[in-house]
Amino acid sequence: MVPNRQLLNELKSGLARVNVSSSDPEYRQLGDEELMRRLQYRDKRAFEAIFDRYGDLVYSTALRVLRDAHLAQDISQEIFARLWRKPVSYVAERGRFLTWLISVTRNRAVDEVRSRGRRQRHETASPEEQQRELPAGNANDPALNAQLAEEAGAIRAALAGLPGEQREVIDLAYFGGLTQQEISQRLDQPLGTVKTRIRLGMQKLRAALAPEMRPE
Amino acid sequence: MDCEQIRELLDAYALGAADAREAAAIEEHVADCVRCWSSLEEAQRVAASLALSTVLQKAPQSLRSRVLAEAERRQQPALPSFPGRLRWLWPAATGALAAGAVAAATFALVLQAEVNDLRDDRDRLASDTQNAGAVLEEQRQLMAVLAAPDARQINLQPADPGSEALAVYYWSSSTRTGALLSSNLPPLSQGRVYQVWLLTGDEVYDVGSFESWNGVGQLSMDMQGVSGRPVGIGVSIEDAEGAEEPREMFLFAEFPR
Repeated sequence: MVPNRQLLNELKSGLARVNVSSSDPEYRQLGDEELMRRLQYRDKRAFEAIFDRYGDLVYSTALRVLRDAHLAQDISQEIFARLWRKPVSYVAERGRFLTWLISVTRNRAVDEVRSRGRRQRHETASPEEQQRELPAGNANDPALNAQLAEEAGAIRAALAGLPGEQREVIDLAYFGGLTQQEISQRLDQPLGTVKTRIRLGMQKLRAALAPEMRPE
Repeated sequence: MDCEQIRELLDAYALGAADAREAAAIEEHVADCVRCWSSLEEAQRVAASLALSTVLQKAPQSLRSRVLAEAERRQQPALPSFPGRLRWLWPAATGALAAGAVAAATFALVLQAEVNDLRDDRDRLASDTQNAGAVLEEQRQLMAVLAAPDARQINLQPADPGSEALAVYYWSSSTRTGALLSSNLPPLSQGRVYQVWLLTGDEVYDVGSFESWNGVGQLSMDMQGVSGRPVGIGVSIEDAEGAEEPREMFLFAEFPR
């Protein structure tokens, strides 16, 4: 189902749509910062709304790094438990809530990989493979997170536009949790080459995503 | 490192690929450089966007249940019980509190000296005298904050909308002192205190703790050790030895930006 124009306009105005769930409809209309502000007052409805909004993304990010569904669930639970326990960890002045949440999730998942001494080979999916893996759509809420879906489409297109070697080092760094030195050793490439590829790749991503990265 | 050198490293740092030495240099630099901090924030947004390229997997329903159940479990406040015997109360300060800056204060503070029979209470009297002295000193500090020409105030709200607890935080930027006055507080069980926290952009500061009597409590604070602009103040219920970080805020206020 194609979202109608009115819905799209509402979404673009900053209201993030969430999964169909049991979270309060009124809370689904609130922005991330307002939900976090209410979370500081131990508002469980705000917490539910945040989970329903980003639970899948947190889980998917953890799963991408860990490649283990059970571990991904554990880490996801830990992330949200920490959010509930210490909502003051997120400070709005320091940036977008989603950026913070994803960063915390990714970092925790990478820490888990490192603590278990695992060095998984992260195979960068080719554009064709990524196309096959795209979800068919959420039958419960076809307009699910349309705003995030737009951003997802933009980053996928931006990544597809990168030279393979730049995409590879960025993937190894972000999802593989490798340092530049480790990537250099893994790929048997000079450290300077790895650094340059990361910098150029991120430069291109930044330029491609510039229209999407509106101030929050 | 200068800004140009730092900016060369920001993308790797945002991806989590910088080594420890580079990361330390970046963190030290951006703490004082708004432009580089802004560049870092942009790089981190790009990095976080990478997560959106991930195929979105539906989290198991059991995860939702577990997450919400744990929040429910952590929601339960400490079970309060009325203290069996209270040894000292708060000094009467109603007259002093009539000063214009605190006209909105509605708390009544009462001091009573408690004397028991001589044989059993010699030591207790000495202890009470010491306590009373401490309380009077606390009142003096409180008055100093309230009387400061730049004294400001903010009302804290209870996390539980059904709670009748009230608190007002007064502070003076010029003297870097603050004071919290509270009332309608639920009684705490033995070994529990109200702990006060000041939040800045980077840190959560423990600024002291207090007990309550008849639902009334107060704390005066020296803010000399607080670095950075406070963004919020909160009160939590903790064990008497204090906590390193708040479990959950019982009262909270966010300072206007």
